[in-house]
Amino acid sequence: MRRSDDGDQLELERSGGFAGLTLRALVPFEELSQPQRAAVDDSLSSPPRRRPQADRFQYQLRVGERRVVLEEDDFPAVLRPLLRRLSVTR
Amino acid sequence: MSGCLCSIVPPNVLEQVARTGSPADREAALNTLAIDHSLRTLRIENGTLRGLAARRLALAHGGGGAPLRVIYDAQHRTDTHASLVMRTEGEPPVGDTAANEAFDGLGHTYRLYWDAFQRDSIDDGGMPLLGEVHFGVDYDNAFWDGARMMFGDGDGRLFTGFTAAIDVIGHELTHGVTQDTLGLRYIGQSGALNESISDVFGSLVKQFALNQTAEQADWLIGEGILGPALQGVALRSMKAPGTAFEGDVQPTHMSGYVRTASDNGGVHINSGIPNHAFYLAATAIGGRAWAGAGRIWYDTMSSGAVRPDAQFHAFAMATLHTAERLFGLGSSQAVAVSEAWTAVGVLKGVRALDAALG
Ligand SMILES: [Zn+2]
Repeated sequence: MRRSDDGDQLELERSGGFAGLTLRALVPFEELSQPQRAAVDDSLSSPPRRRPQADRFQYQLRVGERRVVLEEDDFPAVLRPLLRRLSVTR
Repeated sequence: MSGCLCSIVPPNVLEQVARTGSPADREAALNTLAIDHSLRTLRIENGTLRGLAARRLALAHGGGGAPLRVIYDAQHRTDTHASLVMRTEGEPPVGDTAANEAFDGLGHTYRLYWDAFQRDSIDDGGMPLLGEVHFGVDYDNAFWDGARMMFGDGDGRLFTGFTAAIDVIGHELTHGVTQDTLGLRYIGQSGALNESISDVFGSLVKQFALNQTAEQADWLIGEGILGPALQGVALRSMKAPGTAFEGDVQPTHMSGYVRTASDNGGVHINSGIPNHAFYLAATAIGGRAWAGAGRIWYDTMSSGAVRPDAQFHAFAMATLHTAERLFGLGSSQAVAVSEAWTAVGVLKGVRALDAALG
């Protein structure tokens, strides 16, 4: 079953790093594995404490109205394969 | 059998010095033992650690003035448990470009801080400069983790590596200096100041190595590391923020300050404003930038003149006070600093007018 609101995709953003480039990717939910969906939901419902560190990456996950910012070390390993989809936004 | 040239180095070489040497030797040996406990358990050549100990002993007698560098191979991992020592102080170049570039960049950074500001390494206490090359897989970043520098190799598309630009290395190590001095919070304006200070001293490392005047310097950050997917000459330009590459959105003036949730509040974007103020002050003062504007910025940083949550205005006022203290009220240097911050919209210009009217 496919939902029709904009909660049917994951908006992934990586910002920061020495370069300060912002990269984004849109991933349809149907392309996420069950563990990946669980990891996204987990991060959205219990965000880890923010602790900004110089020149590390930060990741933002957005699904519909729900949004969370994660430090590089808090980014779920199971979502790492999605990073290949990131591209520079202008 | 492997015919291994390596062996587990027993720490007893240093421990013997620590027990039987002169007080200075003993302290140095203890420092060396404390560099990183992992060093002792790594499989490294027997002579490496002895050479390191000897170097540290020499330093202890000399009272600073020479770096103590160790370059590790992270072996494409993102932890450092399996890192191998590639090159240490006093050793000739090895067969790995990134390792040699990192080694040289750490040395150039040490030289700027020691020769220009008499600062003995990041902590002003001779802290060893540790660098990890080949960090992660296709990793598009370099950073200071609080104890050592990590260099990715780049993915070849956005970046071709991070060791080729010595201003990048100076930038990263300066995060260590800032952490040790002002401790600027890495978010919003204090975060952008933290970023700008790293760009300022990163650029000065390059200018010092090339012995350039403020006029001759390119004022670029990250020249020579961009891959084919990024169109431009560098990542940031202190001379002309917003023009370094096609996606460069750095503002030059407070009127262009970017409010965003990304990048800890746009710390790599809004740093363009204090970056440009430094460029304006340095070129107005003229000569070698580390002797004029650099001295003012360094003294402001090392004297702990602003709070960790300082905004642009507080930092600008602190640099102006430092300039007046170092060079005199109404001096050309103080006027240059005041006018620079006024030009980027951080100060209102009253001080500049006062100074000009004498
Ligand atoms: Zn930085």
